[in-house]
Amino acid sequence: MSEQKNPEVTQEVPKRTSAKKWTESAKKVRGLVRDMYVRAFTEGKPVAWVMFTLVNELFVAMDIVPVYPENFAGLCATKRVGNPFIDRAEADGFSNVSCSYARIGLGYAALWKDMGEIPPFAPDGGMAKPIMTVGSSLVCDTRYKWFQTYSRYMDVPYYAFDMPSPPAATVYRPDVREQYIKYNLAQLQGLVNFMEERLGKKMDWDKLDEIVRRGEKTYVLWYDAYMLAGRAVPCPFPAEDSFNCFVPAFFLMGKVEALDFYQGLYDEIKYKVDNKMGSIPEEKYRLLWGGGLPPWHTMQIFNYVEEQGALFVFQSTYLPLRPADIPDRITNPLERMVYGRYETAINRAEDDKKLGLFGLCNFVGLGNPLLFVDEFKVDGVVMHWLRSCRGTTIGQVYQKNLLEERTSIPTLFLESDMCDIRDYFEADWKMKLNALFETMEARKRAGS
Amino acid sequence: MAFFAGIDVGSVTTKVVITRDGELTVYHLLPSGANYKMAAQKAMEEVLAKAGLSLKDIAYIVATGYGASNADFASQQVTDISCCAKGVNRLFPSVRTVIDVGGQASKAIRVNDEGRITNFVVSERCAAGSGRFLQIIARVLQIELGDVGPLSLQAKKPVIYTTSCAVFGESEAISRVAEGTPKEDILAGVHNAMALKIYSLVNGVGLEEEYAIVGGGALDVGLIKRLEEKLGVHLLVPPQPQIMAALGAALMAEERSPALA
Repeated sequence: MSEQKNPEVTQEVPKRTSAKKWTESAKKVRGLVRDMYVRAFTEGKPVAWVMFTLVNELFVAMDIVPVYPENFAGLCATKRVGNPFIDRAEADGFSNVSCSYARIGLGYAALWKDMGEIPPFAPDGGMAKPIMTVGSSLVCDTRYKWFQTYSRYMDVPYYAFDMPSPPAATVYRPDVREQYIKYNLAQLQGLVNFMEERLGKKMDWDKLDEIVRRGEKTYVLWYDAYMLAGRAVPCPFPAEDSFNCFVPAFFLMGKVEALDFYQGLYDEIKYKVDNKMGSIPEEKYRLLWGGGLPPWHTMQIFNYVEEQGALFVFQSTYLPLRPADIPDRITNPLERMVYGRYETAINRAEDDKKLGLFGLCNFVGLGNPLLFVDEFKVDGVVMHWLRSCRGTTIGQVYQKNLLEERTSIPTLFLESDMCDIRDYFEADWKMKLNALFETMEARKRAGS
Repeated sequence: MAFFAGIDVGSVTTKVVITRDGELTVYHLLPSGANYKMAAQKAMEEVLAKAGLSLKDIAYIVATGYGASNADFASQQVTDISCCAKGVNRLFPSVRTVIDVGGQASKAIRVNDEGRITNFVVSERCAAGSGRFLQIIARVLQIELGDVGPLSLQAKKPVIYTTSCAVFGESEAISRVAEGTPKEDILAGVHNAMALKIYSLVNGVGLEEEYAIVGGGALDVGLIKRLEEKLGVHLLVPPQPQIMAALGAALMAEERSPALA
């Protein structure tokens, strides 16, 4: 790692694009993110570029620093420096409708190769050079080729890791369960073997066990904090904070920092809920962000919503599913990981059964907005159609139709992209949001 | 008795209406061009001249449309969706579904008996369901926009568009011209493609009688015919369909004016 720069980060951006943070916990996330990138340069440990796959614990146990290009892309978008990377990726032939997370990372790798150094405008000093890349099948199909392509740009080995979602319609079948667990254990073991071979050292299974169990506690705190906030009237933890606070769960899972972070978040929310401390003076309208990744390039739009007296009290995009109770008799940490994943899918199926939708949705990462409308006292739902993310956009029309069939609240589609600013049209967003407020007002007046 | 004004700074046309006691007194339209601020100012000056009034005679002004923020003389901004609903409700109180075909976007709006919106869907950022598509095809066929509708009605065999994209639609229209397809059949095909797009918007808010169509697209009899066929309903068309949002804005100005509070 000695050939890498030790970056002094912080690049000022001309205009603030991020949203105001309402909680002390959310304010801490930026520092955690900066540390992730800086430590990849300074700790002297091997670095892997990894697709988010719910297996961060394996990297922590192997003393590999995982760097997540997906997070880096969001960071670039927030700093409004993503589009030069996007342009470079498109110059290499990547379609402008392929994932903008992928295009930013691929453009970064291509520019690094062109320039012979890390592009100087990369935020937080950029992503340190990896010794391996790991792609996965979780959520969407782009994730295999995306990371395979990195391995070609960076000239390092690549591992393709398969992690299918448990099947929705057959999740209760014992033979399906057995096969799923067997297959996923083999996949996890394969990744461990790859790491061991690459590093020339063996996995410390006791250490992994400790990390996995710490991750389980972290997950429960994450879930409890989010649900507590969503139910609260007034809400002390709006969606823009929640969109920040998923970061440790995704990218630092298993580490002490993540556990401490969610303990702090839970405590802060609990205190504010107990003391009826909300975010804005009056929640005229309580909104649910009901699907689609947020517009990382313009998170300030959430503050515009608040200026109109509305608050996104919850987001169902980056949502922990109801946690599983993993019995102590399971002592193999890999098995605990797979068991937990399967059991959360069972929990999801239970929720779907309550809604009469069992077997219809196989998208584990997406919370069904219907689950939260009544419980969180929601007046309207907003969904985000993303030009370059099929994974979180597919199903939104179906969910909108369900909401209209079963509730009396309006649903709004906004259109842009999570990172590519070219797809964002602020006047259009504000016009549609204002029309939503006017619709909610009319419905309230009509008593519906 | 006070006068009130509504100004709709649209992507193609700026419309301004002056009302008095809930009745339309005078209206004016001009192209928005590339400078919305100038268009708003000019439209206001010209409508005041028409009415023989000055700005100080107007008690309250509501601005609407994509360029509403450029009407810096306005007292308040309201979305063109709400304004459209209000304007149509003034003329057709029984209408519950409004289709607005504008230059930039199309909208389907559900309206209650008070003229307030209860649901709406705006077209995605795609020109295929908007007036822009018609402008593009009229240019390809070298005909005036006002001739598009009457020509389309003469179609004997409307072409079936293989794309619902305005950009590819332009290429396809050029190909059809090269094949010798009559202009009226090309236009009827365009109208069918637009009707399909707008049909999906209307489905998004739910079908409820009665129906009205407004915006520049409502001046196109060919589009109206194809839409009526597709929806299986009769569409009411106001006498000046382009000014409905401006009218609604003026009516809202009356409601919201502190002078009448």
